[in-house]
Amino acid sequence: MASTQHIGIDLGGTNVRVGLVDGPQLLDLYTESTKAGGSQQEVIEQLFSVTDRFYNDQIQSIGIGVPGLVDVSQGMVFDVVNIPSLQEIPLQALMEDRYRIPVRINNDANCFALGEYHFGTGKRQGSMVGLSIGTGLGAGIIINGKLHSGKHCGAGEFGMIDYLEHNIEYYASGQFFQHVYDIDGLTVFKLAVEGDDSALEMYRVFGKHLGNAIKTILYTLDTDKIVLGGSVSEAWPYFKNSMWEQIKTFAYKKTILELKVDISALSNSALLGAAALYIHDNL
Amino acid sequence: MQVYISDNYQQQAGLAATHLAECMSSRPQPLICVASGDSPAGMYASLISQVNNKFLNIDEWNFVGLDEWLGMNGKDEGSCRYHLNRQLFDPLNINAAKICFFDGRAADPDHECVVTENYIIDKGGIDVTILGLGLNGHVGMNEPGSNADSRSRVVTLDPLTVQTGQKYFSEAKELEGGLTLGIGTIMESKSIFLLVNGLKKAAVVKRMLEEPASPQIPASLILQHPSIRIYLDRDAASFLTHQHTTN
Repeated sequence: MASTQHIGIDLGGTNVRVGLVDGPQLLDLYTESTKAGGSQQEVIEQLFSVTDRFYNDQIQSIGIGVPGLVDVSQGMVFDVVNIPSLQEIPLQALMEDRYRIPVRINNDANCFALGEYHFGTGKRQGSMVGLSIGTGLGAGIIINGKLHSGKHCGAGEFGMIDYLEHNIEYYASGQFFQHVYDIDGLTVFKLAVEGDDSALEMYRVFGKHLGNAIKTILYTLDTDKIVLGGSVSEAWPYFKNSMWEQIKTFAYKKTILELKVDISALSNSALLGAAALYIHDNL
Repeated sequence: MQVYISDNYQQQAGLAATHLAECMSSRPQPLICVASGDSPAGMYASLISQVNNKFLNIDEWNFVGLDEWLGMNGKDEGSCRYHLNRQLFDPLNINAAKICFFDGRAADPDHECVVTENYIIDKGGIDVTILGLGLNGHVGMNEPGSNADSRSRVVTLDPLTVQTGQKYFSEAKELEGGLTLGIGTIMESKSIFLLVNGLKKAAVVKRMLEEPASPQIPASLILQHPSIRIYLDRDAASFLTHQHTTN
């Protein structure tokens, strides 16, 4: 049978991670720091060089997830968080010219959701939302087994919705701790692990905001399942209860009774999802 | 009943394959009843892509054939088994031991029907039945006039089926009858997927969905099933006047 290997790339503002992927399996992984301040040419060259590490003539496709706006049909990257030089780049065409195999580009939160849908906790849930909670809040939407990216890959940007004095992302992502308590998320996490009361209280408040964010998602999509990933999800035990208390104030009881909210059990959903983009497109 | 109306055949096929994978994956050692024909072919292609790319594991699946022409089996070009071998079983490398299929050449066709019904019982029932829709409203070879509680049996074919069935053969064939799962057998499966596409089916789709259920349109007899999903493309749905669920 033909090879089923694909390359998945997670291009973040801090690190670029490249995986050699076969179906649900990550065969090999390479990470290096992103040349985030580099010129357009330097960032593209970096993408080529990391891809070259795993590229061979058995590779069927390449998928790239970026934290930013993408025109999926054109393969254009418009804007990438923390990599200022990547503006209006025909990344798909550049990659396809070089490697001569199909390349797909999508938003990183969409890749996370796709990885969860095909291989993770959200496996075959029909309709689900993947919420990636790190320094920002990203969401990917799966409806009837298909990724719903929207015309500009902007569907699911719930973090941008106005909320209280700012927006949802301000209160329901890692930014919350810095903005509201002037302390970084990692420090709060360490304190909470030690049982510090004020850190636990911060997580309780965070969970309430996240619960409100999830209610907004439910009023929009009424999904079966929500999968949480990203660095903040490590603190799940500390915000789980207050999050659910808030979700339970949702108006439609049947939705809440059937809703499943879980933490990602995969460590590389976004990479697996990026590698799956091309196949998913053609299912 | 859920009705999904897709923009085109490919989208219809992809959606049905996605739902099929969801449905089958939630059950241990599931049994799927498969129909041959043009309607489900796209869904099978999408399913094969999922399996070949390791998105889906079907090692535990078992298969039962929906129907077969009397006097034919997989060795006959144009038979239902022949088409399904090409559309599904061969590309997926399915071991023949995991397939139960009517042998229309068997000396005792009635016994084939007993064997099939027993196989279904032995496997704990059918999990998903895949159906197409005939121009005369038949499902499987349950022709107009079939009973709602009919079981697997040897049937006489409707003249329209004899005529339209010719498309599966390279030269003219005398189609003398068929072996088919009954409406009652189909109704006992846990889920039913009915796939219909193309403008030529638009009129019979309308009769099935918008006229009172009747043995004259056998497909209308299965609409009461608690878990039936109907997948249409825009063309097949184009004569519908009432509102049906759209996705």
